[in-house]
Amino acid sequence: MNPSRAFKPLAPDAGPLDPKVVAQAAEWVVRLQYDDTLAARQNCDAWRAADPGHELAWQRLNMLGQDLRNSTRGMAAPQVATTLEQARDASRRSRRNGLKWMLGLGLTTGIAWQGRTLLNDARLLPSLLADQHTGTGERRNVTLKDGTLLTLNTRSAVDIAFDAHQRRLTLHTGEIMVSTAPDPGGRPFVIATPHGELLPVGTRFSVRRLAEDGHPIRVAVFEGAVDIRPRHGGPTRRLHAGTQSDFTADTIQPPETLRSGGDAWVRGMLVASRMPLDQFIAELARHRPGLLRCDPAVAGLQVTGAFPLDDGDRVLAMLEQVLPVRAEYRTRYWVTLTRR
Amino acid sequence: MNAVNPFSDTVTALYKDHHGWLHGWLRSKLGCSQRAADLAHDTFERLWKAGATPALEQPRAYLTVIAKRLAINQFRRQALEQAYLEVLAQQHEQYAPSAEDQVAAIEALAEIWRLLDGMPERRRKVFLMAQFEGLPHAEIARRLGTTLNVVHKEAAAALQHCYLAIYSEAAPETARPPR
Repeated sequence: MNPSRAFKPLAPDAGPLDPKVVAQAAEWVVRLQYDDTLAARQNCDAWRAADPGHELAWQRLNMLGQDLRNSTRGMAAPQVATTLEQARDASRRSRRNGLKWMLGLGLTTGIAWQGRTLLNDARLLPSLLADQHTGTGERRNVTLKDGTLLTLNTRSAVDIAFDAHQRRLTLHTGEIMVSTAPDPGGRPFVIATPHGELLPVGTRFSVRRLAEDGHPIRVAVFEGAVDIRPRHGGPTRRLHAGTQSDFTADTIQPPETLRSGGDAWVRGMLVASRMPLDQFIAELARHRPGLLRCDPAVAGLQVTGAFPLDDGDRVLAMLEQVLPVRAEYRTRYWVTLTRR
Repeated sequence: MNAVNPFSDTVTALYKDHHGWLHGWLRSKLGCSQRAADLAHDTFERLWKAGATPALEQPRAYLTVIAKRLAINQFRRQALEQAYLEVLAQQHEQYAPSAEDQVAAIEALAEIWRLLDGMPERRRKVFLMAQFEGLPHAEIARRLGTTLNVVHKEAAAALQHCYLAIYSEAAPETARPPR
């Protein structure tokens, strides 16, 4: 009848067991999870030995646990729970929208079918091929051949190409901090991005590209200056220390004063000064595996303080203390901040 | 099973009498002839694989029940795929499974979803946190804002639920539409 592949019944011919016996067996399995003492084990053994039905129920439940673990062996733990909960949400939403099941089906799958299929989703193409890349929550310092110091923030990918004529970095995704060193050969330093090139002038600056094409890229200059050269031409603009600007292939936004703490990530800190909560959460989410979101009802609350980037759960606990919010753990890796 | 004709006579008769109607009905619901044809085909294939088909008083009602179940499974499957992709995208390249592993993962998730069908909210959360995230019961209690005792009870109840899902299906039943 469409037998399950992952969950095989154990000794199906032995027939059904008394639900009470199954309930007792389940209690024993759980008991040993939180009370794994010799006394508990002995009591459990005695219960199992008391009746063949007890033993069978015990074996079947253990087989179930094994099958559960085996079936998800290839998956990172956070994925299982979070994926299931998200998928449930999606299917419930379409029902809540009052669509009849067939109609809902037609609409939703219509979109899904036109869109991506599992195996060719561009988001799954990893940046693994880049010369330097970091995973979620990872930061890395790299000293380049000319002495330039490169720091990659979480989820970032960069290619490095030095030749006789230039020193070139290509930022594919994420955020980098660069402290350029003077080159004895006088080769220019170029940072290539999809929106154009950046030419630093003896400087320390950061570049970040978080979203896909079409969204601006942000340059922040901490020392010296950086020339921005948009891809579609237009005048080159020089950005001086203490300022930042967003640019696209066509336009460069007027420079703004640097936010304090804009480079704190290099030291593993997230520094916020009256930062709206939704921005803060989006920032934190980049460093934390899984899904972290913020209810629109609390999006506008302001956060001030310095927080450790490497311990997202602790940051959430800190927020709960200073703001009227609560971290709702849908799963360990799917958290929504809501009003308390 | 009949070795000469893979379709039992009943299914063959059902097919002749109702396939065209089922296709039309699905097309009107889905607004897509190709999908309707696929679903109609899958419906009869299911019947054929199930082997025994009970005598039917209302064959069309029966067929639509199966077709709906298949469609819901497909729909769930797609919701699962989307969610999987989204979660995978969050993991970034630290975790990049091969295409085969991805398909296997979705397969396994779909089966677990079926196991969890009908489980109350809190029970399901306890189960997922304990089984897949390896959280101690005390931590689960804290996150869900409940007591340790409740977590113990829910964990045991969740196991029973899964047990029933697996072993009631294994019990022989003939006059039940296939899932």
